[in-house]
Order: sequence, then structure tokens, then C-alpha cells
Amino acid sequence: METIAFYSYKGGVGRSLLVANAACFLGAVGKRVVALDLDFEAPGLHYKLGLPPDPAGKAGMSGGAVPYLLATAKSARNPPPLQEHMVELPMSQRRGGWLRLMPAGPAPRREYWSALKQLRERLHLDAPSGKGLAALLDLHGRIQDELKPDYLLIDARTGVTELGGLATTALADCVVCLLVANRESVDGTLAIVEALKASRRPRGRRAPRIVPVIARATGDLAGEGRTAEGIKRLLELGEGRNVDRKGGPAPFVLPHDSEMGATDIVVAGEHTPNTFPPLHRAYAELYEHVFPQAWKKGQKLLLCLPMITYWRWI
Amino acid sequence: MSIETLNALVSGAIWRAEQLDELGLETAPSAWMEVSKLEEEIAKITPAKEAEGRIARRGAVRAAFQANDPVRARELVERYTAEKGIPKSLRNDLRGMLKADSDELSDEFPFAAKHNKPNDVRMLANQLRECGPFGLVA
Repeated sequence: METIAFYSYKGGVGRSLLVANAACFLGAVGKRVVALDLDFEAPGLHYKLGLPPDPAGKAGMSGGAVPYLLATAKSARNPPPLQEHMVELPMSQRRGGWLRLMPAGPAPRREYWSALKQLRERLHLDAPSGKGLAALLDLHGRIQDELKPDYLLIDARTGVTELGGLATTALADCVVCLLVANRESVDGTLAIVEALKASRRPRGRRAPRIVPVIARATGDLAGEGRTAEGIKRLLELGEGRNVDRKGGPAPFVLPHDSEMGATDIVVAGEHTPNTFPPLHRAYAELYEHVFPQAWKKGQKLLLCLPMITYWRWI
Repeated sequence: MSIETLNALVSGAIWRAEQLDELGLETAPSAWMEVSKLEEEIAKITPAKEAEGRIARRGAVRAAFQANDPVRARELVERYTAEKGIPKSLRNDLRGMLKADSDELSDEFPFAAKHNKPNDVRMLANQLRECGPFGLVA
């Protein structure tokens, strides 16, 4: 299992939407995928994947990472079945892939915030006993051992939080860092990436790959000055795409797409490669880099689009 | 400070920590930490070859566990087992305490234990506590 955490120092960069699209892409090309929402304070991956909770609270999704961890905090020796806290999303059976979502929980229903409040009181990730952190690592290990996915995609919390820090330092093999090309976002992301590179790890565990991605780009990226210098430094610490004719790598760029921003539509297979909107083409370029093994299949898939199921869940 | 004074202090501290534990008060761990530190002071002035020194070393480690601070317990065990002339039985006892504690964490979180050593889990938790998320204040 390869764990990929999607992180952003600032919010509003399209992080959850990228997680949802990447998960759908991987499922469509025959990979086994778990998408895990660890953005407990503002969870939204279930919306992006077309699973908003039933407002009446009488049906639909009720489980998720928060209720699961709360149950574990109450009784670690008797954790609930993972299946009770996951939702399987429809995928084409032909390629053998699947996509399971572990949402944070049924947010924004009241029961979710109640569970989150209890979790904060009971589960301390920095407890010296190690039990709080062990509960999170246990969930990660259990997903790996019981479900055996090819990929675990984590929607990590924005900003500087314990859970966001652990998702990137303790769980991830690769961190996709989204930022916008302004000085605030670049400086903050740079501080995080430098800390990530320097952070101590358990023995035998490699530092994660870091892939900076400039999101919501509207034109000339960074101009000159501190922002451009910061992006250059990010590329020295992380991975870019090798297309710069001057010799250096260039950052991955997700162009601003007002339609996507407004509707949060997950699309996989609506367009042929030549007619993909710019944002989807940019996604595809990023997938090729982050999921190279899936990409070989994905490339063929994109060339055979009429055969692909078209999803429009929202 | 004299050994007599330290003995009197540690006896009172143990009694207090036990009572707080029995009542289930949240201050019990800090009371056990006081016990651990007093036992550590006694251990500093009594050699491990003497019975009193052995009791103090075991007591310092056990109380650190009861204070929910296995990181401190491990540090004490590493320090005491590195002492010259430490009796083999004491060394085994101290290491046994560490193993029992690791086994408990592994039993409780088997999937975490399969992929991470208990000591590494505590090292990460400790790092998070001391250096903050991402290790930003390291």
C-alpha cells in the first residue's frame, strides 16, 4: 500500500477535489483505493464524492474516521469493523478496481460534532503513553492489512495541526502539497516542507516524496521576487516536472477552473484527451507523476474513453 | 539531602499517589511522577549493589510508568542498566518492565504494532509534544 497525503498550508486550493478526482481515476484504472478524510474540522470529501449525509439523519452514512477512532479510544481491544465506517463507491467491475471512502463522519450533522468533541477529550495524539498516536497508526495498519489497497489517499487538514502533521510525517510515503502562487502561501508551505524534510522518523522509514503543486493558477505564475524564489526552493526540496528547457524542473500547475470551483464536479471520462478542460489535463499530468504504475493503464483508458463509465455524482 | 529525609518524603509520596489512584483523580499521574523523581534521587546516593539502591531503581521506573511517562521510564532503564556492577537480576527486572509495557501497547493496538515498534510510536508522540506539528519548533 502506498499512502499519499494531500496537504495545503492554506485552504481553498482545491485539495479535497483533487483527492476525490485522483481516487476516482485510480479506481477506474483498476486500482484498489481507500480515500480517508482526516480533515476533521472541515470534512468535505464525502460531498466531493457525492455522498452528503441525509439531512434528516435517518438514513445514509453514519460512520467514519471520527466515530471509528472514538470507538477505539473507548475500547482499543474491541475496535469496530472497518466496513461499518466505510462506503463503497460504484466502479466499473471490468478492471477489478474499487474505491472505498472513509469519511471523517456524517458532518455537518450534530452527531458528528458531538463525536468530534468526545474524541478530542479522549484521544491525545501526543500522549506520552503513545496510545493516542497508536490508535491512528492502528487504523492505518488495519486498512493496509485488512483491505490491502494499492493506494491510501489522505485528505489532510489545512494549516498546522497535530493530525495534519502526523498524516504527512508518520503515515505518508508521498505528500502532495498544494499552494497558490502568492507570498503568504509559498512562505508557509516552504516552512512546512523544510520541517517535513528535517523531521525525525522511525528507524527504517524513508522520508516521504514531496510534490509541490501550484493550484488556482490564473496566468503568469509567480513573477519575480520572493514568491518565485520560494517556488524554486520548493522544487529543490520536492519533485517537479521535467519540462523546463533551461534545465531545471518546473512545478505542477493546476489552472483555475471556475466551473469546477463552483460545482465541485468529479469527472472521469467525460472528455477525450484532446478536449479535456485544462484542469483535467493538469490532473492527468500530475497522476502520471504521482501514480506512475497506474498511469500506464490510465493512458490506455483515456484513449478509449467511449468505453468508460461517465460519472456525474453531483 | 539525607537518605532519611528522602525516605520519609518518598513514603509519604507513595501513600498519596496510591490514594489518588484509588479515587481515580486526574492528579494521580503527577503524584506518581513525584514518587519517580524522589526514587531517582535515592538511587543517585545508593549503589545498585545495596538492597535500598535496587528498590529505588525499580521504584523510579515503576512510578514513571504509573505516571504515564514511558519515555522517562525507558531513559531511567537505559541509565541504570548501563551502571557498572549492576546485579544481573536487577538488569533483567528493569528490562522486563519495559518489555511488559511494550507488550501491552502491542496487544492493544496490534495493527500499529505490526508496522511500528512501540518505542518508535512513543518517540513520535514525544516529538509531537516537544516540537509541535511537523516538528516546526524543533
